[in-house]
Amino acid sequence: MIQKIKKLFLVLFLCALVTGCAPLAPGKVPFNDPRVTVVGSFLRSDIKVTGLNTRINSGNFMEVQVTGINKATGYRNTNATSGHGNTSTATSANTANTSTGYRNLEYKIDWIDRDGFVIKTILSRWTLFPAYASSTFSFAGVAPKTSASDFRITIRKKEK
Amino acid sequence: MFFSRPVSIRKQGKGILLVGVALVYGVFLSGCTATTQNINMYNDNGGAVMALDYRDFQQAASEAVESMLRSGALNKQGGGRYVLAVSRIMNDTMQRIDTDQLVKKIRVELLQSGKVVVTTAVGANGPEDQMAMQARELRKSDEFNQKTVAKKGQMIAPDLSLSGKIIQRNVRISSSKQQVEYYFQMTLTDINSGLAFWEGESVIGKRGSNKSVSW
Repeated sequence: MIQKIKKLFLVLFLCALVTGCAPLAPGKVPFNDPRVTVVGSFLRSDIKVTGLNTRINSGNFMEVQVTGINKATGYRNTNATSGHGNTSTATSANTANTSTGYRNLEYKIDWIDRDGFVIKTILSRWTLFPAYASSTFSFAGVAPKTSASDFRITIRKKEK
Repeated sequence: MFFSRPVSIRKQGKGILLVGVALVYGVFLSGCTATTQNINMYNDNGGAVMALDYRDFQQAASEAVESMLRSGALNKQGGGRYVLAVSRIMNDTMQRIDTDQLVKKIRVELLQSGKVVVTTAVGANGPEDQMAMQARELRKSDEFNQKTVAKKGQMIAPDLSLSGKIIQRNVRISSSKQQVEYYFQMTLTDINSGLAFWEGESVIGKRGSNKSVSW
């Protein structure tokens, strides 16, 4: 009986060890933040957002950065490219593009104040950002007012 | 009578021909006329133009504001808002540009940020709004209740000055193609020390036909 329990513990321990060390399986993205939306099924199949970083800067303005992953080719470790830090605490937004070619993408950040109202600002505009094949890319934004406490980010393919 | 019939038939035929030609021209011309449309300013998918358009000014202004808000240059020691005077924004392009297309956007955003208030009583080319000074001349008038006239020493002098330049550079690529580069350069100067607290540049490049006019 004791031997059986020992074996069970050993198996459980090994399982925990293996799953803990295993690299993130392709397509498994541990991120589901409703504040970021990728528009279009074509894009969604390639590009996945994996994380958000926010902070309040010295002027009390909220800043946001987005991190992402290419679902088709699996996880691309930002540590390998940046050479420091954990991906979840990376200081820049990194998103992998799985397409074989260069992509023109756009993002728009809508800032929302403490009362839930969208702030009208020229900072909320479709902004182009490049996505090179099999490369990471990043973007960030700053709130137009110190009263901004939330945001909604939309990513889409650049319309012609 | 015998000879008159063929002449009238010929006249009729000419008339029909003329009407036909007019109709064809009419259809042709109406088919070529572009219909007027309002631009969707929130999602403008219209093609780029070689000259500067509102999208370029919007991009340059938002990049400048974003950079200023990030930099911390607008954080006044001890809190409160900086008073900003708009200095000279030079138009060094081949186009006739009202630089307010750029500056107004920046001013509005900075004002709304709560970090800056703009003075219209001081400017590089005189006050933007002369009424602040003119209204003070009412001090001499017995017709006005002097309690309602602006008092002496009430105006606030600017802390910061916004200056800049828009530069255009044309590069010939081939006999049929050209490249036009626009540089929006802005500087925020601390008037007290004369030091530039913030500087920024946005570059917008366009490539197109030589026939497109960029001036």
